[in-house]
Amino acid sequence: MDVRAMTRGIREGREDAFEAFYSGYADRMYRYLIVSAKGDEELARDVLQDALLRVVRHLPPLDGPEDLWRYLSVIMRSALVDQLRRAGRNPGSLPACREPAVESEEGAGDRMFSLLDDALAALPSDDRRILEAHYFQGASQGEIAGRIELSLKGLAMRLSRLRRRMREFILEGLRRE
Amino acid sequence: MNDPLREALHRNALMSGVLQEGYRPSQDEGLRARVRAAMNLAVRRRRLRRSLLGAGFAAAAIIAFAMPSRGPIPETPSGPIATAPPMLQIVTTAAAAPVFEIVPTPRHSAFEVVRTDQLIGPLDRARDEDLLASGGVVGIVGHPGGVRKLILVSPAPHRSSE
Repeated sequence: MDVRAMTRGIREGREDAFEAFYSGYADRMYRYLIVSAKGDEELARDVLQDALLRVVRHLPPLDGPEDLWRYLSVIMRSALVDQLRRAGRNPGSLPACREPAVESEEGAGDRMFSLLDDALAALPSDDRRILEAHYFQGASQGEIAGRIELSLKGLAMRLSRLRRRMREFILEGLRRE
Repeated sequence: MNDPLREALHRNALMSGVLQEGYRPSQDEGLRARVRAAMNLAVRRRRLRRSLLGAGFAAAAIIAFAMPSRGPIPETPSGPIATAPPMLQIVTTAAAAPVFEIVPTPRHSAFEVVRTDQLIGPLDRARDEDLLASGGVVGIVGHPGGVRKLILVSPAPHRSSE
C-alpha cells in the first residue's frame, strides 16, 4: 500500500491501512527512538507509544515515504521532549532534542551499524567466526554445528546468546555517546 | 567480501537478528490494540465533529433564512398581486417554544395560517396591506415569492404547547 492510500486510510479508520502502517513503521520508529534516547529502552518504548497514538489521531494525508518519515520524526522528537519533561528530566540532555527535528532514518541507522561493527569486533574470535559464518558466509546452522561439534539446539542457543550480547553492547554504546 | 551491496545485506541481516533479541513493537499485540483503538476513536470523533458542524451550518442557514431583510421595503407594485407559490411550509423556532395553533384552511389555500399570541423572533411587518387590514395578521415571514410563509394572527383563541 502506498503512503498516500495508507495515510488517507488511517484517517478513515481502515484496518488494512492501520496494519500496513503499524507493521511497516513501528519497528523502524522504535529503532530510531532507541538511538535518539541514547539506548534508554524504557524511555524509547514510552515515547514510541506516545508517538504512535499521536500519529493515528492527527496524521494528515501525505504523498510519499519521505513526507511520512519527516512527519514521524517531528512527532517522535516532540513526544520525546514531552516524555522527558514529564519525567522531570532536561530535554536538552539528549542530542536528539537539541538537533533539528528532522533527522534522517539513515542517520540513526548509521550509528547503529557503526556500533554493530564495534560489537562484532569486540567478541572473542571463536564467537565472531560463528556469527560471520552464519550471517556473512551463508553457512547453514547444520554446517556450523558440525564444524564446532555442537548440536543444532546448542548452536541456536549460542547464536541467540551472542546476539543478545551484541545488542547489549550497542545499547551501552548509545548510552555512552 | 568485496561486494558492498552484499555486505550491506549481510550486516542488515545480523542487525535484524540482534534487534530481534529485544523488544519488537511489531510483536507487541497490546500496543497494537491500544493504537488501533486510538485510531478508531479519533475517526469517530472526526465524524461526530463533521456532523455537528453540518448541523450547525444547517441551523445557521435556517436562521439566516428566517431573519428579516434589513434592506428598504420595496414599494408595492401597482399591478396585480403575484399569486402565492403552490407549496407552503410553516417556519417556526423550537427554541422560542411558541404557543400557537394551526388554523384549518381550505385545501387549495395558498397559505398556512397560524394563530399565536407571541411573535417568533424578529419579523418584518406584513407587506400585504389587504391581509393586515383583514384583522389579526401581524406579520409574514419568508422571501417575497418564496415557498415558505408564516402568517401570524393574534391573539390565539386558546393555548397549546409545542
